[in-house]
Amino acid sequence: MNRLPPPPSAGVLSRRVFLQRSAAGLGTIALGSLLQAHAGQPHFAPKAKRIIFLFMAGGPSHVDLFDPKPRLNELDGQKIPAELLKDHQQFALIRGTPSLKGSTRKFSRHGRSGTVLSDWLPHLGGVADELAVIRSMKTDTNIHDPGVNMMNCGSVMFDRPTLGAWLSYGLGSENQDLPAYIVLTSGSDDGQPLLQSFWGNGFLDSRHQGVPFRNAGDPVLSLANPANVSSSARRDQLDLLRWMNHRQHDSLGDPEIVSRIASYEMAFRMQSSVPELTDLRQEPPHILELYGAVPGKPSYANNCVLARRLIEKGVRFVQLYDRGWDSHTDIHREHTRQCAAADRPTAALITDLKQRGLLDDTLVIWGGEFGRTPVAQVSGNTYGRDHHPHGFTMWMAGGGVKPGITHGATDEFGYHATENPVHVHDLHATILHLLGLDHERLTFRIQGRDFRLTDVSGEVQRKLLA
Amino acid sequence: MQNRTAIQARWVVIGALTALANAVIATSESPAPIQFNRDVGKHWAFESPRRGALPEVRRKAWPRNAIDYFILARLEQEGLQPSPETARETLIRRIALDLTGLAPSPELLREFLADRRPDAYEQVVPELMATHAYAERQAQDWLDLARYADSNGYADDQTRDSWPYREWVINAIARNAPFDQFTIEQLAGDMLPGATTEQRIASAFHRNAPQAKGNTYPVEEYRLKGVSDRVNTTGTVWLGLTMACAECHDHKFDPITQRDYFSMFALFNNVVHTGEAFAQDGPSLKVPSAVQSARQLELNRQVAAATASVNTREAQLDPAAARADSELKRLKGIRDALVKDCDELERNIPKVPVMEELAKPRDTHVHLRGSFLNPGDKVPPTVPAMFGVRPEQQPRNRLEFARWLVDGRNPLVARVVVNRLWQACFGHGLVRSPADFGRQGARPSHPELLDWLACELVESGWDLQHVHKLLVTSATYRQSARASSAARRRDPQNIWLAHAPRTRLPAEQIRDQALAVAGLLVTGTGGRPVFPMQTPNYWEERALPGKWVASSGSDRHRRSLYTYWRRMALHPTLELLDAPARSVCTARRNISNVPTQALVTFNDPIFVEAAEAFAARVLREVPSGDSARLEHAFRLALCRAPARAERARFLDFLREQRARTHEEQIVWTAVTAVLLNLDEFLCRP
Repeated sequence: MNRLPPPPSAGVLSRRVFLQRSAAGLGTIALGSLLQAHAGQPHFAPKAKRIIFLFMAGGPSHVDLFDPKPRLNELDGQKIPAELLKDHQQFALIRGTPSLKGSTRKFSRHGRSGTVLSDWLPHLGGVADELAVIRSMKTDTNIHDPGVNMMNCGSVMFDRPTLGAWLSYGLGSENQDLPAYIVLTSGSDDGQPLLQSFWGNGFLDSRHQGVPFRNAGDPVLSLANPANVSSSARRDQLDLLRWMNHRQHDSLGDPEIVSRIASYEMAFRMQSSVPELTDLRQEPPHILELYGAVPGKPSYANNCVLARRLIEKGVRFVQLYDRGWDSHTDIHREHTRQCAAADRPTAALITDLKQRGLLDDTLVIWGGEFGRTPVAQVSGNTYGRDHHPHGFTMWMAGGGVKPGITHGATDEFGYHATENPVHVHDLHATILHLLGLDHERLTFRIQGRDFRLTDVSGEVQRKLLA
Repeated sequence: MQNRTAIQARWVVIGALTALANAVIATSESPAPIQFNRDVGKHWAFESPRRGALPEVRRKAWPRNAIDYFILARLEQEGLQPSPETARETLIRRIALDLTGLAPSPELLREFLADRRPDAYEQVVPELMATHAYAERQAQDWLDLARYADSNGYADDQTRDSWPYREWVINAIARNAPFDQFTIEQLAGDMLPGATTEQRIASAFHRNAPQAKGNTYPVEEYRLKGVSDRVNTTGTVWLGLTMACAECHDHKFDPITQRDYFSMFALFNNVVHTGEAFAQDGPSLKVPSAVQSARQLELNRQVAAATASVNTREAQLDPAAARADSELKRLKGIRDALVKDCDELERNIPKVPVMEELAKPRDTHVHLRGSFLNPGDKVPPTVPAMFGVRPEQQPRNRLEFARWLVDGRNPLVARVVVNRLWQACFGHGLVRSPADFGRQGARPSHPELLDWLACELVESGWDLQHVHKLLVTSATYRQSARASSAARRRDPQNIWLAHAPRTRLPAEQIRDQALAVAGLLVTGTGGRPVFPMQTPNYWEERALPGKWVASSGSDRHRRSLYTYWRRMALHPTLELLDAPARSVCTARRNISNVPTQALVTFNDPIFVEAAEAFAARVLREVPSGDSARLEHAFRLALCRAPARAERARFLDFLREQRARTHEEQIVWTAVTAVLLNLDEFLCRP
């Protein structure tokens, strides 16, 4: 270490952060994450080693999927009681005083746990005993992009690291051929845009950024060589490049050069590992059938298969964005479409992970940036539901989560989370805990402050832990 | 984490001191400003910089200017030796890249290597600084700070016409505008007496932030986001203070209270805000080009004439005849077409978001716990109390604030500015936290040097180029980048600068250099943002509104600085090479080293095209001979000839490739692609 008087804060920086803020450290760390299997260390023994986050972008309707409300059905058509509207902002799009809208769905109990699900999710019923359904989620905003930021970053702002970036920063990568954090996308074209901040690294080093896989063309941008460069010709080039870069390193002694050599080698490996991984024809027919996946035809189902293949290769965090849940105009049509595409593959993913023994240490998270209003947003002859942040449902499975439970509750209208409310910060604290990280200790110092995923709050939800 | 208790203890102590300081304010009878730094102990950055004497050094022949005395004295104290001057071909590549963002042209390289005058280097520095490329390269760093982009941000992310501000920055740097003037015009150009168009464009600095728009929240909340951003950005860019920490509560470490925060907020809170929901906006300034102005004048004249013709004809006819008159119909057709042209022209005139002060300032209240729904005390516009400004000298508005900031007496501004300049030349600042000079920031490695440079900047009349020149002509700057084993062992972070730092080049310089080497770069300057090739459907895949239509012709190969900067989906070539989206002020880029970058520089269409054009250029410019061609390619890419071993290895490589193909273009493209991916090519030497 140098003899520069340390800033008064040096003592609080973890070794990792401190190294990262220094020139030499940057190279050392980058090299570490590239070349060593377990670069980061959890704070305590983790239950989950990796995460698949099934993000239903736009916001699924909790009162139509998970949270039946007989009273809401009874009062269908009546104006929303004024006391529900106290202390919060107006609706996102609805203007005036809307009417309560009951659900047309049929709910029933599933599995030994008796977990309640609607008939929009018949397949999920088959794995109900694996789920921990959280009916009391709360978030801070009813606008899409800040809402996605909140769910990903614990902040509505656009400049913060996402959960996947925090995990890459805190735990490093578990594999040498693939990035630690991969993003898959599917769904309806009329959904909300996907912004680069959704997989951003914020103020963390940009190597912690998520890598979005594409559905058409190269799965990773610029993965394929130009038409007239064969893989073996590229190998020749890389050999020459490595030889030159080694000379450069011998002459200058800059450790960053070694890191660059490693980057190029990993890129080369990705050129074969990624197409192989994304080629679903390698899956046996019964597995494709289980998910309802069709190789070559991009879908949420294909992404679920791919997510499993990625985590099998040691990818730390896979996030699937399924677009099109933002059902404002005709929830019947729109949610029917979304559930038809998402129900079976989601259930299949749980089944498949379990049969491979992967569910024990893989945490699956399902949910959107918020739920949907228990009041109708009328649109001509049809109706939809507006954005709803005050009480909604998410579920988790595997990775140390208590299976077969239903946690928390909303009021009789499905409006406010009333029993055991779980704020997004609490969810994040719990997720990090399952990964062996103390959310108060996973920090990064910038702008004079130690930033956390959970900002200044968040409580681990013990009741959700197995 | 054994340090946890220590930090908590410290928080308690600092918290208590801050509370004490606040109590002093609360109970103090006189409203005299409180000198926080005295109350809570001195902090170096809050004391005025002092220019001390140059330190004594043993190796008296080494220093070339004042900077070197400070650096050498510390090296000697640490028992380290400075490195020898780097090779001339490295030096010219380094200085050209740092100053202009481009490697030296073959002509410049040849001239410089042939120039045997002892001051050849001192001669070339001002020449490079006089180029427009210098202004473009320096503007790039400022645009990161100014969070300049061509789109509004948020999901809507529509285009905005901010590029005349980008032009203003480049032009201001090109004419070496003194930094005080540069500051005043950007913070308050609109408020200057008799503000010119240019000065009003400069004020776009504080309209560059993302504009939140939407149906949901009160317009007021969206507006306030922008005001906070102005306070925070001003804090970072000029004061090196983490103002944002004091938005919700008093700063935990630095003497900035929440009241201070909102007092400064009051200075930036008086900009016109218009519209509702998605139509929210602020003032804008129409900036027609000379051609547009002339055309508009001409069109207006023609419309007037055409209208007169219509009127004359109409007057000659009774209403029934007028309806049937073909001549009148023809005249009206002409008039309507001209009016349409006028409207079209009007739509194409850039409307730059700029600042404009309300006639009557808004009342500003402290937002309790940071929430505007909880207004606390009303606060007047003032600067933070730590600066000890007497009430009668308090800036009362944005313009007075800007003038106060650069009156030469602020302890922070000049230090913060020279520190960033140092960072640009040496990879890191003398203070390694360029955005935080507070108690939680890094301490300066060479405090006396920082102060010396800060004083030099102010005393030179805020002449940035003068200080920049001192930095790059120092012996410290000219050192070799090779780290001796002693330096590597004893100073792995190179804090004492026993050798020159190596840094990977910024995204723009990697692309621009590749284009330049390939002979593709178009050095035309200015204008609307351009659209180089981008992966097809890149926006569509993400369901972003709009369509990327690649520019035709030379606009595809303009400097990257001019690329359309979309906040929510930056051009992937730039994004993957760590260019920031510029949603917030960036004082230092993260520079990463990841595999996806290797894929970009090998396979991205922009780099494939560059490698092919580079190969074609080598084949064209050197008619025959592998060795001669290799030498040319090396000189173009690296400013040096290949070493003997390298030549042999590349000749082997050529033989390997010829076994694969008979097409020399393909064989040589394999060579040039490797050159464009060398660590040596990607890094500042």
